[in-house]
Amino acid sequence: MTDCASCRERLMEASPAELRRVVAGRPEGRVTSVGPSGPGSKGIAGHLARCPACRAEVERVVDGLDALDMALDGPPDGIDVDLVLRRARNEQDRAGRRWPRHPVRIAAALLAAATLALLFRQQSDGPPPRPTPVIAALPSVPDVEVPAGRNVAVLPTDNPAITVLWFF
Amino acid sequence: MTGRTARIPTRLVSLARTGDEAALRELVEAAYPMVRRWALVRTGDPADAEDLTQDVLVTMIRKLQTFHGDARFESWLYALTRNAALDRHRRTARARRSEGDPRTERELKPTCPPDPARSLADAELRTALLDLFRRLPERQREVVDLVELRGLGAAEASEVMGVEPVSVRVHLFKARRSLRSLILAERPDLAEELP
Repeated sequence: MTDCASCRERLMEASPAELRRVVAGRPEGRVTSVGPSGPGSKGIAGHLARCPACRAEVERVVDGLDALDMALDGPPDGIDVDLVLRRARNEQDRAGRRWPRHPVRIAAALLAAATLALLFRQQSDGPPPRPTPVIAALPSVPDVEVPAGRNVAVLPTDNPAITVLWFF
Repeated sequence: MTGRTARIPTRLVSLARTGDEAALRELVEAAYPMVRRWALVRTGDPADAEDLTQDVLVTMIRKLQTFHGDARFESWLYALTRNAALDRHRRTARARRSEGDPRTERELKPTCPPDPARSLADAELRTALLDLFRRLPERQREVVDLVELRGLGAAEASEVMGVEPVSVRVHLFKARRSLRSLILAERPDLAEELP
């Protein structure tokens, strides 16, 4: 025996075509052939015939889908084709103006770029620039007597008057 | 369910690629309902969807030369719509951050203006259903639209979306449950409201 819950469960998965057959009074296909009582049973078909509440639910779902379909189609306003074509041409013109369309201009730009690239390459192929000699006064390292068994690190500072001695 | 089996003819695309003005116009008109619907699925808002649609159609014309027919034209168009929607979303989010507005896009969405050609109740119902639909994650919205509403198979939808068919099936399974539960829970009066 099919109850309302299993009938509703089945109707949640049925295709719109199957639901329409139910509404039209011709319940065939999966809705009726696959029910809790097994394939080929008339469980759901029988239940729908007896239960006006379930039938009404099917009708509401079908009507809802139809209304949604109509809502998505919208009012048949049509489109202003001239406006669309005009906009497309304007946008194409704007896009075209972003780059010089004249072939001579394009060639000139490419030539300039190639010349620059060549110059840059010639520069980079030459001998590497000599490092500028840095003449810096080496700080005078003080003579330090290190006790036996120990080492010392001499750390000059920015201040020539101060040198840090680290015994370790 | 317009556009369920709609496919833009390859001949039309080829002709438009040569710059033929009449073919370009025809292509824009043929692509409009498809793109508009995808845009609405992405944005959830009719006004935003119109703006996005126009952006996508302009991009379609500009980039038509980059379409070489390796994939379906609809898949290429779908990718354009998706990218345009993402760009738009980023721009909106950036603008909002710079204005110091902490609200989410969802909270900022205006309600759909009532369609004068239809009854108020009808327009309200559609708005309510779009609201429910907007609660689904983006991928689920896409599969609901392509498979559940437009009737594409999982393989065909996966081709359009550029994902694996198994991914479509997984999203579809979740989306069906979520959307139907929402419809049943939040619109108990649905059958009475419909014309």
